[in-house]
Amino acid sequence: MISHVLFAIAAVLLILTYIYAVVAGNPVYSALSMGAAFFLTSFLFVLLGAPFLAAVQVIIYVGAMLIMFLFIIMIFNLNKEAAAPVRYKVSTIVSYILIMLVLLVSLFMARGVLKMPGGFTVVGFGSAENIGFNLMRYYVLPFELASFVLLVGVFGAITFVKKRTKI
Amino acid sequence: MSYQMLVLLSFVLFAIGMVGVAMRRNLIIVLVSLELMLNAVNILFVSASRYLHTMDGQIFVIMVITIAAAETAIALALVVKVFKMVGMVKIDDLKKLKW
Repeated sequence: MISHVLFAIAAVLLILTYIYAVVAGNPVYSALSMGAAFFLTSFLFVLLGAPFLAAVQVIIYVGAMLIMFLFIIMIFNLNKEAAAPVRYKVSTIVSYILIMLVLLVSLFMARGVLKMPGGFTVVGFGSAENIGFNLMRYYVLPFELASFVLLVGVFGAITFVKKRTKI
Repeated sequence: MSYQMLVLLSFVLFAIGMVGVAMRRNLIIVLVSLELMLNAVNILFVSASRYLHTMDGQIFVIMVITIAAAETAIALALVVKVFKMVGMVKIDDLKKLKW
């Protein structure tokens, strides 16, 4: 019962932080609201039986990504807003509505899957040991490919912002 | 905390993030909205992992977080480059490649 109340509070706060991150005028407020949304998501992960993912969420998203966003905004002084901050194009709105309709129809087609009985987690379900076992036992190739993608990301970011120097 | 409520929450969050990607003009806020959309999908993965009693959903979330980190690094490098070249980070000013 207490988990239902906690889930309701987290869900309402998540929707509010999402809305503020999208409509905020200043990019700094938007990024900070994104950080609050990531904290609430990590709370939701603890409720759903994934404590290791909750820690990873806070460390990577809040500790690395949010700080990166704030650095970029504040170093280059990007927190100015356009005169007309929102685009109202008919094509944008129509395509948005069409994509949402496709998602709703796919949810309706999967309604048999949605009627699953209540979930429970056994002891050690989302622990670091269990995740590491699955990652090394069944998902070794995606794990190595992810490390390669990270390497390519580092090289790409350095190449983009590097000054051209003559040797 | 039923599975329908979690799917509904994830759908609503994805829809809000997509409004930001589609309608905002500031490049930084578009990137923030993109991260929020990925986060909504992560919530769906973790809840499916709980209700199906398998670990596969949580492994997928780790992969999504990895790809999102690499993508954010490259996207912010592009933002810095665009700011140095154009002096603005608004989407409507980037029309040079438009046909």
